[in-house]
Amino acid sequence: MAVIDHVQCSAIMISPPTHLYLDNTVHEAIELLIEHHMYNVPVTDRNEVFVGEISAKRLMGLLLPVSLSMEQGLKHTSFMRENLGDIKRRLEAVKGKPIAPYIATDITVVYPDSPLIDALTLLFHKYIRIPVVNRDDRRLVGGISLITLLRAVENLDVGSLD
Amino acid sequence: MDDLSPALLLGLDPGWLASGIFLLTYALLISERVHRTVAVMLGAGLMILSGIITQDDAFDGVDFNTISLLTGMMILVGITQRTGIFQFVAVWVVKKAKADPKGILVTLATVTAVFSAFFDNVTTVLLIVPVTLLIVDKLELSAYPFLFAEIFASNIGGTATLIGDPPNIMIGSVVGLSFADFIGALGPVVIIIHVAVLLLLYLLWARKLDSSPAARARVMEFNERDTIKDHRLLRQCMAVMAMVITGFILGEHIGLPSGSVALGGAALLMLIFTFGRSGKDQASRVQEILAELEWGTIIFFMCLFMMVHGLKATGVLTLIGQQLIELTGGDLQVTTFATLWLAAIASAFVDNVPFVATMIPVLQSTADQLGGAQEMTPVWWALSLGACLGGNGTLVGATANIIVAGFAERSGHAISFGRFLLLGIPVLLISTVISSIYLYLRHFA
Repeated sequence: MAVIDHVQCSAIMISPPTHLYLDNTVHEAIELLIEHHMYNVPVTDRNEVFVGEISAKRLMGLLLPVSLSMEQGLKHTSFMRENLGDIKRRLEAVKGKPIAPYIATDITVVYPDSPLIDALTLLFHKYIRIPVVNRDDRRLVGGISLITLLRAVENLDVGSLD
Repeated sequence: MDDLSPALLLGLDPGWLASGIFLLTYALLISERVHRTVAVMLGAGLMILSGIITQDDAFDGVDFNTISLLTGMMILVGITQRTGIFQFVAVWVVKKAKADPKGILVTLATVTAVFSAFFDNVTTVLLIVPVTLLIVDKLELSAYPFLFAEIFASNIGGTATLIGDPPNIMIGSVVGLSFADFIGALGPVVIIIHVAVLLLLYLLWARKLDSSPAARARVMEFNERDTIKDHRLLRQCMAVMAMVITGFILGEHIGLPSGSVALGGAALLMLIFTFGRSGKDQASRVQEILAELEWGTIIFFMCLFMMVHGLKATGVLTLIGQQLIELTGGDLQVTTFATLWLAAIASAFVDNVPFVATMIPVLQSTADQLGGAQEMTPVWWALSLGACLGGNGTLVGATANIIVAGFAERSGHAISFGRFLLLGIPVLLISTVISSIYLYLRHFA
């Protein structure tokens, strides 16, 4: 049984990963999140090169008043009066727009040959899902999440462990 | 410079060496390529390492009254802002104005000015601007008039008191001007300038400040009482703040420096904030408050004092003071107006804190030629007015301007340097002209 720091990310990553393109709309992103019960989705250009991620938090920010969602915005807002109609109006205003302006680009990635422990450390400290990209051309080739790890561990034959 | 060690100075003239270090630090500050705290740390360190001053001299140069006042006020504001009082007042005045955009422009700017007079400008805009953006969003209006009004108001309001703006803290501390002195001397002119600037903004934007009854009704639905998160803490904060302000006013009569009053108030409020809690909870609350202190600013001030002390020790600042006296002919009135306009223009482009820290010893060295320390009080008011109001001239003139511009950009209402300049320069000119007239009428007519 190989020790974990000798296992590479490619051994357990999901491939091909579910992802969105930069020119997909906010509406399409929402549908994908709902359909796959995902909280963040990797985003690529049309050449499958990884460019960032659209997250539930970013989408949530589009539904709220900007003074709440922006950096250093209001933390306590119980004084204001919002209703679902207000949220719906904000959603309608951005629904048809491409997701490009709303993606986060400062996302840490791992490579297929990175030690799995690197991905697991990132998952523990920061991310829900880690994109796996080719080292040379940054094309998105996989994804690793807690679920991916649990599935891989579940399928292990305990008898093979030494 | 009796204790100057020529060996350590490598044979260089200490005056030139200190000036070189000072100018290099200033260049770093202006270029913004190096963080301002790091720049002055380097400057102070070089003053000591090059032998211009010893470490003990450097510590002697730090005005601990200013440091105590800054730190104490930071702690007081840090705890008070948790109560939600800033947002309460903002929403309350908006509703008092019946959510009329013109009324909101005036009331929110005035609230910003008043808060800036008693708390630091950056904290004030950090707490008021998000509420403003929320309100103008509901009113479906452009945020620009409101954001500009609040920037100008924060710098104008901060001018009125000893604790409103760091230049005032430094001037008051070094020169010995009290809280009451500041309010009495600068309060009236600050009110006049605030009204004049509001009038300018009103004339510029009044026609565009209109919103539908439905939008106004949405704002009127806000419940200001829900902004208060901790009523008990609010009462305690208000009581301690009242004691601190009273301490500032009475302190001068009983020899209690403002720094001690502020630190005493901060200690009392921290005691109230942590009292009766478990040891772990107390440690966590104290840690939380101390972590929120702007340590970078505190260290910036300490190192700045050390650096300026180094320059002062070589006699360079006295020489500059003599040059100033030669230029103004030793005339108090001319020196006052020269100081006002120089401070206003310089502070529009460079950080007013190092500028004032440098100007204080320069002006102090001219006291004899201007008729003595008592006679030159108008010069100190001129320095305060120029340095604080100068911040309105450009986008980079004051930290509060940059903070609001950041909010503006994040909310989709970017304020460019050029756009700010179009309004900043007229506001700067109006403020400085009014200040000139005021100083003339009050001291020279």
